[in-house]
Formats: sequence, C-alpha cells, structure tokens
Amino acid sequence: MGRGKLAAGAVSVIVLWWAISLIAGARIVPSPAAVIPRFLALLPTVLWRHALASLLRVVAALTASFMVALPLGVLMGRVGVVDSLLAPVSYLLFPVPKIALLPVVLLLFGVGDGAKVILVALVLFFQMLLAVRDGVRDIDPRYLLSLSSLGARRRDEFRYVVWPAVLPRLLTSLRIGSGTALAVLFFAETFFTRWGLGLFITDSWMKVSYTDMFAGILAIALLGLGIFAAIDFAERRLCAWQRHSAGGV
Amino acid sequence: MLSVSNCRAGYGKTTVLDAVALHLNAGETLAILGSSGCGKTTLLYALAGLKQAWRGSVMLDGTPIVRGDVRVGVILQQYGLFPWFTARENVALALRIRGAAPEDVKQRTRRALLMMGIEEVGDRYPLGLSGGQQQRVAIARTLVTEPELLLMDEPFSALDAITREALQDALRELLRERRIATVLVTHSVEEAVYLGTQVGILHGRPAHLTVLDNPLGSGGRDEVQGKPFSQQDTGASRELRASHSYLRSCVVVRKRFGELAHGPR
Repeated sequence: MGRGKLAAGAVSVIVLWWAISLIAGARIVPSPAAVIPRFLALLPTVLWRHALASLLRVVAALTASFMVALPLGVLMGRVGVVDSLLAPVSYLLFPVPKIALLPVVLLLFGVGDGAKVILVALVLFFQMLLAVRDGVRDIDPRYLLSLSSLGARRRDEFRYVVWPAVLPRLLTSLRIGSGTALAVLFFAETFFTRWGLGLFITDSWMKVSYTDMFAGILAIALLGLGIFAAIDFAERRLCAWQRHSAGGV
Repeated sequence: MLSVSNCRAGYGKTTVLDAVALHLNAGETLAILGSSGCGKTTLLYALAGLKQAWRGSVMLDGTPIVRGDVRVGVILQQYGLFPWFTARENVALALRIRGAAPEDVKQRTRRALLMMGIEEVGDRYPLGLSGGQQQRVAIARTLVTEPELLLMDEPFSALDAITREALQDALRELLRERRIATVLVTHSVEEAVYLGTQVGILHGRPAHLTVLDNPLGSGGRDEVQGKPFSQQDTGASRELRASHSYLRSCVVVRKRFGELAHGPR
C-alpha cells in the first residue's frame, strides 16, 4: 500500500475516533489528543517492553509454524499418501477456534512463554500448511519438466520451482493469519504474564485508566501494521514477478 | 550424431510411438509434422530423455540420452520460462544448475541475450515480455549451454506472422552457424519446408516416422532465406524462382503428408 493511502487511512481512523470520543464522552473513549501524547510518554518507559515481548512471541510463533508447515505442506502437496493421511486431520482441526484450546495448551505446556507461542503458532500453522499444500499441488507440471530439461535434479526442484511458486500463497496466508494471531496473542497474554500488550491493555482497563488502555490499543494496532508492512515488503521483494500481467506458462 | 532406432514409447498401456528410427548429423534439422495428438511431443520427450523409451535406443554420439542430458537443449511448447525469474535469470539458470562459475554465468548469459537481441529487456519478467521476446529468451536459455542437439516443440506456434518469420530467419542462421543438430516439431508444412533439411511425418496409430529429404534442397532453402513468404514476389526472376520452388516443395510435402496420414487419394 502506498504511503499516501496509508496516511489518508490514518487520518480517517483518527477522525472517526475523535467523533466517537465526542459522542461517547472522553471519560470512556479518550480523544486522540489525549491518547497520542500519553502513548509517546509511555513508549520509552514501559510500553516498548510490552510491545517487544508481544513482537517476540509473534516472531517465535511465526518461525515455529513456518518450520513445520513448509516441509509438511510440500510433502502433502507432492506425496499423495501423506496428503491422504494428514488432510482429514488438518480439515478437522483447522476450523477449531484456537483460542478455545488455551486451557489445553496451558495444561500441556505450562504457563510460560512457550504455551503462548504455541497457541499463536497453531493459528498460523494451519493457514500456512494448507496454503503450501495447495500451492504445491497447483504447480504446473510443465515448470518441473522445463527445469528437468535444463539438467536439474529432483533436489533442485524446491529451490527453483516449488519455493518461488508457493511463496505468494504463503505470504497471503500469513497476512490473513496475522490478524487472528494477534487476537489470540492478546487473549493469551492476559494470563500468567509480566510483559505483553495484552496484559498492559487489560491491566489498564481494570485500573480504569482508559487513556493508558487506548495507548496500549494504539501500540498493538501499530504492531499489527508493522507486521503487515513487513509482509508487504517481503512480497514486493520476493514476488516482484506477480506485479506483471497474468499470463500462461 | 543423433541416432534413434526401433524406438517405442507411450503412456500407461497405450503405445504412442512404434519402430521410430532416424539419423541426424551436425548442422542438420529434422522438422517433424503430424496431426494433433499423433505423438509429436512424446517423440520429442523421448529424444530429450524426459520420457523413457520402452524399447529401442536414443543415442547421441554413441551414448544414450538421459533425462537432463547436458548435451541436449530443449525448448518446450509455450517456452517453459519461469515467471518468477527475470529473462536474464531464466537464461542463467541452465548454467547455474550445471555448476558454472558466477562470472562465467554472467558473461555467457549476457552474450546469449545479446545474440538474441534481448539484452535490453533482460531484467524484465517473462509476463512483461511479448511472445516474440519470450521465445527469444527460451532460445537464448537453450543455446547458452551450447548443446549439440536442439529439440524444439512448436516453437513459433503462438507468434504472429511477422515475428514468426523474423525468428525463423534468426534461428536458421544460428543453427547453420553453430552446426547444431535440431529436431523441430511443427504443425506447419511451410515452416517444416523452410527450416528442415529433412522433413519427418508422424502417421498411424501407434505412430511411425517417415523421413523425407526436403524437396527444396539446401540451395533452395538458402535462396528463400530472409524473404518472407508474402514478400517473395518482388519481380526479380531469381526470387520468383525461389518462391516457386518453395511453394512447389510445400505442395509435395503436403501431398505426402496427406497420403501418409490418410492414405493415397
């Protein structure tokens, strides 16, 4: 997304926020004029640490789900037996709201960071797994034939065909999954946590410190925006070919 | 050079080709004609080692051709370019796969792009290129590895008439200059007569290959070179003669094709 459009979107959100603040009252919904200075004051003191903790959990979840979903998705896409074994399991588990698994994950993996990361990773994992599986399945066999005709071996297929072919889908799944992942992370961070934006927001809420709560919401919104921007950047750099008009092989 | 004897190939339980035999020397071009679905592409894949022949042998300089054989260059139908690589990366890929040194890859890729007149579009992706430019990239990608045998599957079928004629001329010049043995699969009798030193006709089920010497002969082909079919009636008697022998050759091949494909009429 262009900077101009992003700035226009930010202005629209601030105007809307202001309007709601005027209608609902500044005690319930503090105005941007109160929240933004508070956000800037909290950021270098405590907010950065909460934001960093949340970011690290997201990155860890992303890495873990990527490491498992990519090879498994490729295997499911290329080997029929693996797909017929794993597809029914993933179809059953994919629609389960992962937040419902929070108690199970806490019981299995304890109350530390590991459980929170696993919960978020579960959200991203199924999105990635099915995206990679479908991406691999949809690869035009002529690309593999073409690669083979250039003298490539089977081990070259992943690097030159499978990876570049599935990457756009993988990034799209990540974009779709990251919103849900942040929502799950927010909830998971309200339990047994010292640092995290989820904790900061709920803690401020409980203390009826709505200006701080909104500063936290602003921080988590910016964190989400940062993740989206990173995915957009990766897409622009790694999938530049997609910006050209669609065509055949 | 290329020597194929008693080759049989197919899919599942269906035999597509049977008793195919051919011999091709360096610098010769065999243009293969056949109706749709008769097995032209199967034959090309068998020659490339992309499809294992069920019986018989496919040899190049006395040794069997295997899948991904470095001596063989293949241009697939609709070019087989990778949309995620730029034209330059597509051309370089064959060299990278074969383990060439990075500097060597860079130099040879640039030379190949220059040779095909597409250096200036080297950093564009295939989807941003015209059909003719894509075809030039595909030819550059194949020739960059300096193959002894070039196999082409309907390389000009998706191009407009002007681009097709320009590329046919460029290719003919290149093949003659480099003395590459070439097998070209085509639907067009005119293209087969123009490019082939020999014309092969695939006919029957399972298909057999009948190879004819091009009735135009090498002298006739040279006379026609560079004169697109539509512009050969310039008034000069030599060009008219070339045009006449070209048309007559096309008639001869078309008639033979008809006889083999459908029986004598």
